[in-house]
Amino acid sequence: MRKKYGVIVIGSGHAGCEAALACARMGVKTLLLTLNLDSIAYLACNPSIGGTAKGQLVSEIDALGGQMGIIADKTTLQLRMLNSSKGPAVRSLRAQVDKNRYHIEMKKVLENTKNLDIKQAEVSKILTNDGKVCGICTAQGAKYLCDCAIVCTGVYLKSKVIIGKYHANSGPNGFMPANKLTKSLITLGIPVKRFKTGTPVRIHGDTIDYSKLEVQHGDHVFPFSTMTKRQAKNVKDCYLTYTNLKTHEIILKNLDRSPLFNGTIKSTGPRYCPSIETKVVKFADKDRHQLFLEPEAGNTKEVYLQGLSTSLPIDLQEKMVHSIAGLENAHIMRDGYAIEYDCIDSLSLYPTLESKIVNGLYFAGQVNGTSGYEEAGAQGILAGINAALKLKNREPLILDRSNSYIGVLVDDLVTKGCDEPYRMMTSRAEYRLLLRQDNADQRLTEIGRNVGLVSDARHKLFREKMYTLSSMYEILDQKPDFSELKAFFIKMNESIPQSNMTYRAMLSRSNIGINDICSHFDILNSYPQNYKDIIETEVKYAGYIKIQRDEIEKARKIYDEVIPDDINYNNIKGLRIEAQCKLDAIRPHTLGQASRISGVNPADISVLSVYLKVLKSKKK
Amino acid sequence: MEDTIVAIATPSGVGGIAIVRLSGQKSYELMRQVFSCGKVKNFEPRHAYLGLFDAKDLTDHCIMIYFKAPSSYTGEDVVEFQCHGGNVVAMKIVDRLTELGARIAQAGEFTKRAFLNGKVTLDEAEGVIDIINATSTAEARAGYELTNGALSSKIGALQDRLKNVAATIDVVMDYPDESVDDDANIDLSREIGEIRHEISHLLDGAKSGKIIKSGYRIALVGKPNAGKSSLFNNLLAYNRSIVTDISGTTRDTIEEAYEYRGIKFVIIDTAGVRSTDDTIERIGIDRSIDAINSCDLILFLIDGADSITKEDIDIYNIIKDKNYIIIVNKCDISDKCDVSQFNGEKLYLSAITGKGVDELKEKLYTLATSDMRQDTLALVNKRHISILFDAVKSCDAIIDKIKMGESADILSIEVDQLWQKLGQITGNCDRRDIIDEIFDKFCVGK
Repeated sequence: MRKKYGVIVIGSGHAGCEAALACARMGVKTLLLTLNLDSIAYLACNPSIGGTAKGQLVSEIDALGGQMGIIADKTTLQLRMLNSSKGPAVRSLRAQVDKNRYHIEMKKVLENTKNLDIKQAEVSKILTNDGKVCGICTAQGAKYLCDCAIVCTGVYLKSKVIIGKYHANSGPNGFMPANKLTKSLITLGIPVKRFKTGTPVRIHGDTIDYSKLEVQHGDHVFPFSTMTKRQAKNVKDCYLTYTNLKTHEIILKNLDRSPLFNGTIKSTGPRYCPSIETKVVKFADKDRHQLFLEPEAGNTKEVYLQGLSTSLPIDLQEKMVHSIAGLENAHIMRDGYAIEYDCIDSLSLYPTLESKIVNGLYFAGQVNGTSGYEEAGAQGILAGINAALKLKNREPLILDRSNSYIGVLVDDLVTKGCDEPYRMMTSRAEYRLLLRQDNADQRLTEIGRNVGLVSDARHKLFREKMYTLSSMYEILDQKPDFSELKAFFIKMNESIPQSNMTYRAMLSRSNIGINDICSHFDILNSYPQNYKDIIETEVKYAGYIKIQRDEIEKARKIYDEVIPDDINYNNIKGLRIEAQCKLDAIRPHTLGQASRISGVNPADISVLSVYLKVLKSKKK
Repeated sequence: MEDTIVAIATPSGVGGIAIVRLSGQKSYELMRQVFSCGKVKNFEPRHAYLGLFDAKDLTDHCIMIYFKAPSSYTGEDVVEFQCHGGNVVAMKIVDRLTELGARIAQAGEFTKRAFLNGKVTLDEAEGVIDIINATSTAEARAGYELTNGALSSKIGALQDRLKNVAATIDVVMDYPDESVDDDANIDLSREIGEIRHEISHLLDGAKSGKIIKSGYRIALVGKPNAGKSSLFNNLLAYNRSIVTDISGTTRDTIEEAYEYRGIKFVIIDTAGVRSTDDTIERIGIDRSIDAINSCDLILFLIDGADSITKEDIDIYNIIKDKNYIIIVNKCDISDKCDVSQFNGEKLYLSAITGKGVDELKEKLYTLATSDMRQDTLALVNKRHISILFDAVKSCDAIIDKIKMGESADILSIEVDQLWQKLGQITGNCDRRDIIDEIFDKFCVGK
């Protein structure tokens, strides 16, 4: 069997699904291979999508024409707007979702997508011809030809599950691991390393004493996707409890039995997702750590215990859980475990997520050393877009730090690499006031349209939104009756101005909100609240937004200078050896990217920029 | 190809040893033409050879060290000749090398090459260039502190504090669910206030920096014949050999500098200050007034052998709100002058005999150094000063915003920018540092 595809996607997790959908929707004949069709878009850890900075990623995937936001909206059990009081730059949505339905809905979409074949198989080898991908072999004995392949293997490469002394070569949740592909990657020259992550216990809901827990309700807010018409319904609640000194004592007394501390686990784990053992040891002065109880799905009683990630032996897991208020009689249905897996060094990738080593081979998701469904999906859609663009002989799509969190994510990956699983955080984005969740579509939908991924329906909705916002601004640029304004200012306890002003000018005052204006002057009342919120943010933060825009422009002049692919750093007189090595290893795309490489100092950048100028003048 | 440059690398003046430095591709070749050491044919890098330098009309012993690129100060091939001190031998060596094709280096050119070749950072390069431009010991010391990263380490410490502030704001935004509020409960405006204080303290060093670089400026004022010129000459005569001419000297005000205990003093001899209709004299007087306004100290000379005149009173009225000392001159001749109507410190001396001049010098030294604040790092670099001024403004803006109850996202952006601003001095603004701080300090994550 030698069927020929444009793109083959290996793995059907969150990266694989977005990558395959992007390719197929852009008209490329695509094959999606997965170890198990029942693990499509499986939420292997917490049953939620979004969160700080991750919510922005979901909106960006959606704005480009991706699927994650739509499925999350469809399967939401509870929706919250995080950081609503901390300013628009850091507001993020988080949805508790039904993990079973999430999988089913995503599978349904894949099955109904034109140009896309889905098949269960283990990929054992990537075939190349003259340094270029030409096909793949499966362990089952099939061979498929293709022009590009996207590796989205998540944590499945030679994965090993560890619970106390028990360890097994297994993927998450008993799914089988992919034991053969690593060798093929190493043979191709791809640098491979090993990371570790973990997941907490799942308990039976009926054995929880909810009367001892604090409840956490959802918010009435608008969902992730432009394509979702209705507000989310909050059908389930989350609960909060805490560990205590007794829990900590159980852990501390048994550290010799902890794989993390007795040397069994040597790979690098993520700091932002620490096991309870790590938390108790590192922050010994804390007498409690909080735990969230999240529903796994609508049709199951399983509850996810966020905050209690562990690889302790099962008897200790049991003791630990029972020491916690509300969980004294809790029945553990699935044990917590640590998982080790192979991933690649993301420094070997271009900002398109194509490998520098093998032409036509792309990598996306956890295999690049990241963590999180949203980070995976973001890379998946970008890799998919770029593989499709390559087949169409079009310019690749490179997102940058000033237009998206995806740009920040990819730039960090290919410039700095990661020595632990990488999680997106608002602190990583310097232009976070511009990278808001509410303007992801304004930043990216035209880009998605241009590459051919944004559908007519989505594009129309976006244009309508833009049109509506501009007509709202037209109203805001009018002035009320001056006597009305005075009355309003008295009501708001504001000092009365000398002359009349527009609604927009009023809104820029710190104590006046859009809803104050709308209700007093009876304007804009027929417009949706989320549009009003966008306008309020844009007007109130106009000054800051302008400062950040100006900064970007300034930086662009210096740093957008593209470094030619064939540059020979060893020929550049004056570059320090360390800088030469780093630059040669990472081969940055622009001077700006070069400047962010650790070990490359400002003097190196000025030498490099002089060299590029000389190079340019010679070409002329 | 870069040409090969040569210069005397040691300060001019009397010294035991002078060093002539060559840098560039032809360094080794040029050295082979002028230097011999027995039968040695191949000179090893980083070895000291005692041999003979042949400058045609002069042959002298010297030590030669060859540094092969890139392991040299400039990153190019470098040859250093250590010859006998004084300018004569060193100048002969330089002359000979330029005859053979080397070019005289411009001021700071070695360091510039070192910087372009990545051998020193911007911060260090600026420090070294300041050393090169240094004309007095204290200025050299300030340059040295910068090279040694004294400023970098102070700024680095402030960045660390800011990193802590940033992490404290950011952790609450990145982990809204986590109950880190107790740990994150720092007094933000106090913390920023203290950082502001530290920066403005560093900026005090800008004043010392100015004194170190430009010298402590002293204007001599007084009516004609009060003895300004005598005092001027007496102050300078003390160590004439290191007095330097200041360019741009006008015929109306004369500036000269002397060094005393490592500090450079610039004395400005002003034309008389009085009302006049004469246009040319008017220009001279305006310049004198400029000098009075821009100096660090005024020495107001009074003729002790004469009684107080209207001219004295006019001058006093011009300077009385400024920083001045009253000098009663000619104390060797007479003490009939009653200066009690003038307030302020008074010193009695004779500019002619020199009596009391040493005491005046010591006094000037005390005043100059008290302005310099010993514990402050001297800031002599304009770029650093302007960054720090900006940073103080940012601190003020942040404190204002905290008072106004600005939201956390804006505060975090402001703190981030302040941190990056300071990073322009240290060259260190990797945003991962803040994330490291978050995880070091707070117990967060599922």
